[in-house]
Amino acid sequence: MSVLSPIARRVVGKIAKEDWLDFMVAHVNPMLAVNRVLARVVSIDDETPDIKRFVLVPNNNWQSFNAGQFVAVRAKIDGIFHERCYSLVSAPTDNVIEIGVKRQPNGRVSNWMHDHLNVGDIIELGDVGGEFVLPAQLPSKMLLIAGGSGVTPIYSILVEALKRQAKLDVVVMYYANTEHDLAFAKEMVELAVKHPSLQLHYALAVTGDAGRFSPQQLSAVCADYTDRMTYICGPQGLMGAVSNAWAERGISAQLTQELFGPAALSSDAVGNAMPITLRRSQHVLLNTQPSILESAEAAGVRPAYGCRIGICKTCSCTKVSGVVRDKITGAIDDAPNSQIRICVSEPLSPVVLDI
Amino acid sequence: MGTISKSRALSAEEIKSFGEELDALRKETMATIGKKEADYIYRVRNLVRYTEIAGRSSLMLGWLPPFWLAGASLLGVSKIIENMELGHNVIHGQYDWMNDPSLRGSNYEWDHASTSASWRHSHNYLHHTYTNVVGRDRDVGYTVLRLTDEQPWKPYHLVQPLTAAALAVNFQWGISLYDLELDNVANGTKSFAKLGEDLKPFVAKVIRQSAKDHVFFPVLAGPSFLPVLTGNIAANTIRDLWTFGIIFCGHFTEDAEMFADNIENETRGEWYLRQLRGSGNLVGSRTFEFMTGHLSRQIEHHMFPDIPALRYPEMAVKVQEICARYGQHYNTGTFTKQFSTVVQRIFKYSLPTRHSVEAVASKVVTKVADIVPMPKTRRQSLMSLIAA
Repeated sequence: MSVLSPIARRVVGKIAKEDWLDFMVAHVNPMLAVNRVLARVVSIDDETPDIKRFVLVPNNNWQSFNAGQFVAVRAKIDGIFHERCYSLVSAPTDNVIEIGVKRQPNGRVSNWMHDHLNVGDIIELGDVGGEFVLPAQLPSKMLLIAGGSGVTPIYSILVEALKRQAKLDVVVMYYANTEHDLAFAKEMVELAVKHPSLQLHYALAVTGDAGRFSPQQLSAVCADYTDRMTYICGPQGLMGAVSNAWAERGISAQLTQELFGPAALSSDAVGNAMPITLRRSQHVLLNTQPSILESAEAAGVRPAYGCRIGICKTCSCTKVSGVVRDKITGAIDDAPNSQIRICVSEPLSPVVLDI
Repeated sequence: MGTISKSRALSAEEIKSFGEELDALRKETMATIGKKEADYIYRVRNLVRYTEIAGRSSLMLGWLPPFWLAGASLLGVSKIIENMELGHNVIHGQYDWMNDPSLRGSNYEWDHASTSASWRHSHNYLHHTYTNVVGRDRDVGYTVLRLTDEQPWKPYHLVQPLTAAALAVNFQWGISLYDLELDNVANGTKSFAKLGEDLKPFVAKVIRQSAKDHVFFPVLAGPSFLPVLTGNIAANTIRDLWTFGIIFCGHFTEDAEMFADNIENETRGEWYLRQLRGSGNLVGSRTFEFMTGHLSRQIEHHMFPDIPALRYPEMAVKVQEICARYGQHYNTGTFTKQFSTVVQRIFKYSLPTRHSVEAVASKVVTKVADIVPMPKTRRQSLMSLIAA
């Protein structure tokens, strides 16, 4: 309902609760909401055996984004909202949104989207984010490395880069398992036809060593890779290898990375010195005590708390990102934007809290 | 303390395993929380909204008595459900796991004169942590009523049946004021500065609630201003009376025990025991239980405040069985019976009472029969010896 000006929106928010208003207007049109972004699925296509392309039409609350960024999808599965981020494949100027979703082996949201989301369904979208974007001033030469489903933000950046500079000297190095796993291949080939300055290379793991990353493999394909501003998105193994190779050559500054998947779990000893970021109060502290609450207090911060034994939920707040363990139940929570009780949670990775 | 416990005293090992059995029940139930509870709470919220709309609309035709009655009743029912089954339970964080920002305990704002923030502090934290600990749980008497021997008697307690009645009719305003902790300001434990901070949201909420029910909707109704205004007041009063009745049965029935302020090193098992002994349940139909926001299962709610309340009746079967095996009294009864003991308690402690003799007697090691009175002659000779 951005039919309302920002002022009107604030006034309305003060008089009536937003969720009540959303409830009422949904009776008229289920795509309407005061602030929330809702999107209707208009098409679902199989891109590879495990990647599907979803095209969505958002409501008026959708704001634009930069190529290479991702959007959070808030899937309501069995009554619970689960949030996952997917790179935006469509161009910022398109009037539809397109994402590519890979089915993860134990992925709750990806499997739900593949198996239960249908054309015509309405889904909620969260925030757009990410810093995997092109600089204001394009370099003269670029190298884009994609691994598997990591091609989604790479493709988005490629389209944007060529739109800005049709004759840009850009090399794309796409690693996949087999040729059936090459996503957006058709589109990239069309781009290569339209833009002779684009060089498109695939490396398939099934072909053996030539199909896997190594500095030799890469230089055989792109001899001057050390001179190119490089963007990479792919699985951890590929990213780690590339990142090491760049570090060895002292050119890490030229590399921009986007990692898919949850952050690695590290040692969970008490005081594992994981960084805890308190977003609203602009504090960053290290985990030195048995629980997040105690670590925050040791660092001089005073979050709200109550019983300190996990019962009253006074300390309950939103964990924006990161992995924590609930010390009472032992449950591990790695979902973005979930509620945790900081008095009984310990971080297993860098954590960001909305307090 | 005061009330003689009907529960058997337990050894340290028994207390530990009592706690462990309840922890196991909690874990087993939590593991099954999911779609059913999520669908349920959305249906409850829809019921609150639709009955509110129906009630308020009906009041717009309120010059006609049937519409006024229907409107006030529907709106009263809506407010009761919003306050108890929806609001109180959501604010406890019982539905936080849904990741729905509109059902998050830390920001749900309820349709009540008190702010949710002050309720989270006084109820979720203070009351649930210090349940029935005299001197710490201010809910024991809400600072105006005397309900146990250990509370010192003051002359104003003489009229406490009237105070209680007045509180009942204005319960939402009473709670709102009570949350300001004016008693603590008077005795110096709360600073004026803090009171100043708390006054701002207090006033804002009071104004908002009054504006909503006493100004906005009556004005919106145009010619039906008066029926809507009176209907809204009636609906709020219906909610206040009902919640007062149910809430007072929670911890002030005859068998509800009070505790001394020495719980610093309370173990988990001891915590469960205090929650059990300090609480009382109500027996009734499923509709009755729903309308109490499942506070008919006050014992289960106090043991498991963050488990969605609709699961309490099923958990109660196991809880009762565990209590029976450990010789713990499970305080339950019909609303009439339980509430009548609450009324009796209010009257009883309105008068100054001495500590109950029987409660002390059990602590006396020497049996009375072992004390033999000294013969008069021997006593007199002893006295003359001492005087010498």
